[in-house]
Amino acid sequence: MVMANSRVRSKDPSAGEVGAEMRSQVRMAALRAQTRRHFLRTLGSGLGTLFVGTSLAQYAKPGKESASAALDFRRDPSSPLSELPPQFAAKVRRVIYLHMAGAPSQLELFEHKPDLKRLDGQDCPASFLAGKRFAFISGIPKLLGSQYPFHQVGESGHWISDRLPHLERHLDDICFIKSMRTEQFNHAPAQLLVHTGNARLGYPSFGSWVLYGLGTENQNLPGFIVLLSGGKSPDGGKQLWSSGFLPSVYQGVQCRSHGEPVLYLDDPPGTSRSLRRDMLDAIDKINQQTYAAFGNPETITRIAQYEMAFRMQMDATDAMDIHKEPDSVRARYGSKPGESSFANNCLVARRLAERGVRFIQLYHWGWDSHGADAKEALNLGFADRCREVDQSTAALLSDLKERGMLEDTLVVWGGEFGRTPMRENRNGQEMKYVGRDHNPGAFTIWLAGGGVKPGITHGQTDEMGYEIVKDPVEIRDLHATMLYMLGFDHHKLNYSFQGLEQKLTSVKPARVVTEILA
Amino acid sequence: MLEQPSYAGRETLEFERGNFLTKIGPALTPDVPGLFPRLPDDAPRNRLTLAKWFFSPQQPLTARTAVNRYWEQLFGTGIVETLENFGSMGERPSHLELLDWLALHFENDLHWDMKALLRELVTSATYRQSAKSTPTLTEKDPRNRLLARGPQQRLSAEMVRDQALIASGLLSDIMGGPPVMPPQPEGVWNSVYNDSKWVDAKGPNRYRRAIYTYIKRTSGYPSFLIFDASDHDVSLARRIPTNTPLQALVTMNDPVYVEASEALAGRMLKASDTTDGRLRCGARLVLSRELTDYELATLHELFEKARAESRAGVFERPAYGRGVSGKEQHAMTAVAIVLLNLDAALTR
Repeated sequence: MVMANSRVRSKDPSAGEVGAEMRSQVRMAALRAQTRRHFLRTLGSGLGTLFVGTSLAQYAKPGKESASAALDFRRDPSSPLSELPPQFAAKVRRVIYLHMAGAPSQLELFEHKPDLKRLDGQDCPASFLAGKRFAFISGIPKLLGSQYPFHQVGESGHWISDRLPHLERHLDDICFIKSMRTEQFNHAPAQLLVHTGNARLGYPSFGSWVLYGLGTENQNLPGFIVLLSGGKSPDGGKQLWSSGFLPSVYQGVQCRSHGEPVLYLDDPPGTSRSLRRDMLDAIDKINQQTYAAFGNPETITRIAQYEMAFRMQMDATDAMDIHKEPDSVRARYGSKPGESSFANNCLVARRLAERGVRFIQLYHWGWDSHGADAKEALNLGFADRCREVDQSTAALLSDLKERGMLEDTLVVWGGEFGRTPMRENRNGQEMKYVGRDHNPGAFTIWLAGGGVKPGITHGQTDEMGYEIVKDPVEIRDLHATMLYMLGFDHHKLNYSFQGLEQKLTSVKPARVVTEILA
Repeated sequence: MLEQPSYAGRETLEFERGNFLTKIGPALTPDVPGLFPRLPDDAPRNRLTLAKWFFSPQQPLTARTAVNRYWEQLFGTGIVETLENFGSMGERPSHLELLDWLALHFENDLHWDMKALLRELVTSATYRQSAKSTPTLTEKDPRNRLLARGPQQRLSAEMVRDQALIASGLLSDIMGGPPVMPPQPEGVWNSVYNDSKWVDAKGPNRYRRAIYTYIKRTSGYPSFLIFDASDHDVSLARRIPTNTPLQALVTMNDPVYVEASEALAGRMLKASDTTDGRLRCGARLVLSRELTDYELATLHELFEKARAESRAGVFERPAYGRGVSGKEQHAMTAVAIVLLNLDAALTR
């Protein structure tokens, strides 16, 4: 019975009494639909696909397509990371995302709130607590003014605390969003939301989407590289740079400060480069013969990938080697080779950006300033975190600027949510150290570089820095905005999975924050 | 794992848009989606009823999706490519009648005998065709959906490992038991919430089949992930095969494969007194076939080059076989790595 149904369904919808022209249009539409649906599942298909790809290429070019048509993300199967043009002309070619894992306090860095300072130590108004969930605050907490003095800087007149003396020299290049908001108040899901657009597991990260959409310039290095510092991985774990349902070639490659920078990069002990070359030559020769015998295009792809692996061994090692930088440059970053530090990672990030890596993601752990112990307290560990990132972030911006790369690089700095204007009182008790609880309702991030209007502030919170009073920006709005800077309408960068045209910004409406676009 | 007794079962409420913090009542009862044949009204809503429902004659999807999966295992692509989706958003079958015939045959003639079905598939003329293609054929049907040639596909992540271990003779045949920790690079193991450690196994547990490898969602076994295995975050109905340089780095440099290559070299050296005999032995172990003259000459040349280059004492291992030098063993290991990295070895 059901079989009969399937047979009915199997009838070709394009068959019937339609004109030849319409039939050819239908076929073309079907081909294009297949183009996207089969993306990279057809990696195994090879030269034949290449041929079809060439004949269809004209349809993928921006401008020739109507606004409603879907984009074509197919690649030559031997180079799934090859560059594709953005949908429209873009100011940003690469992204360096500096994530402060644990959620840094905006009230100790960028949010100048004199009224909060004035009311420091008083009971928090009941209206702050009604209907709210906190990670640790209970009972009636006290308001907590900033632990550090603020001053105004530069032509932009941005307010900043005294914790970031190096970064403050760059404030005229920076655009603040002080009205970021999230739906998640625990670290792992909030970090997932920031980096995959979804608080649940299994979705592709921002970097994976960008790599899928644009590919990468340098085929001898991974196109999406992740660097960790601060002694621990972010709570969200490797899922933060996962490719989710996108093919696994688009996942972030975590480069390490100890041992091989990329897993399995080093030849086994006792194998010289020349022996490795001889081995590859033997593999190539025999694989060529296999191809001649069977004609499987995957074989050709494999030959190319082994050659690329050989080149990657040299190029990735070189890119990660900060010994190659002059002492003066290392001093500027505060970098000491061999350490797993944010400073080293900033310097590596610049080297990777120079070499054409598309998406460079840094995580620095340790910003979760609850006041539960000295290592993270606002009056202690927090100051250390600021020292760890201040000089190197400033050096990164200077270096990019000197090289003319800040014009087409987007630098983003921020955490996964904000912190409360109330002092944390775990179990209703005053704690030994000073700290703040999680505040998903308002936080600050900053952006600098290509595509961003410099020296401005977007959005505003109330006098206590607790809730947004002007221009709220959701995570999905930020994603839509960043994709716009990279040359995509966020509706158009999509991938067919589980019956949906999946996209980074998911199903709720997202808005490009045009106010911050240069 | 045991099923909870029914009195310990918990009430299930609908969540508003899946948000577990906003439950909307009333309590739900188990049932199947309305699209499918209904459960018998008088049957208790339990697993037995569900199992019977799956195999009732009114339920054609079970056999159809099952045969499609077996087909995919052998041919690389299902008759319906989207194994996970037979609905309107899935792909259309490439051979509709064949799929339905196989489903009915599996259910009615073979009585769900998987082995019998697999035998029928692998002994079919279609499966036994040569995989040889021609430029015209490749151009007309690049993905071989019409099966004018035999199937060809890369080994899965698990097969890549198991093949290297069995060819080298290292594979442990111990079955079952707790998961094991074969070598993985230091610093990969990611345990944010507790202090559990990855300790590289010694002895037979180092060389167990891939399926016994310890799985942790926040920290997948890296070489498997590189070969498209699931990271186990979400159910993965189908792996999408890729072909990347990182895969080449795994099979050439991962200590697992280097150890396997050393052991394979040992087997080859013991098998014969002549270099060519040793190379032929390696090919039989890895490729299950004889080398062509060209392949033999290429590997022989590599062996001589590697032996000439090998510095005495670099490779301090107990010599395998009579009169085998450290240099020879080193050179044969290089050849063994090459054998395990041939397209012919990684493809079935």
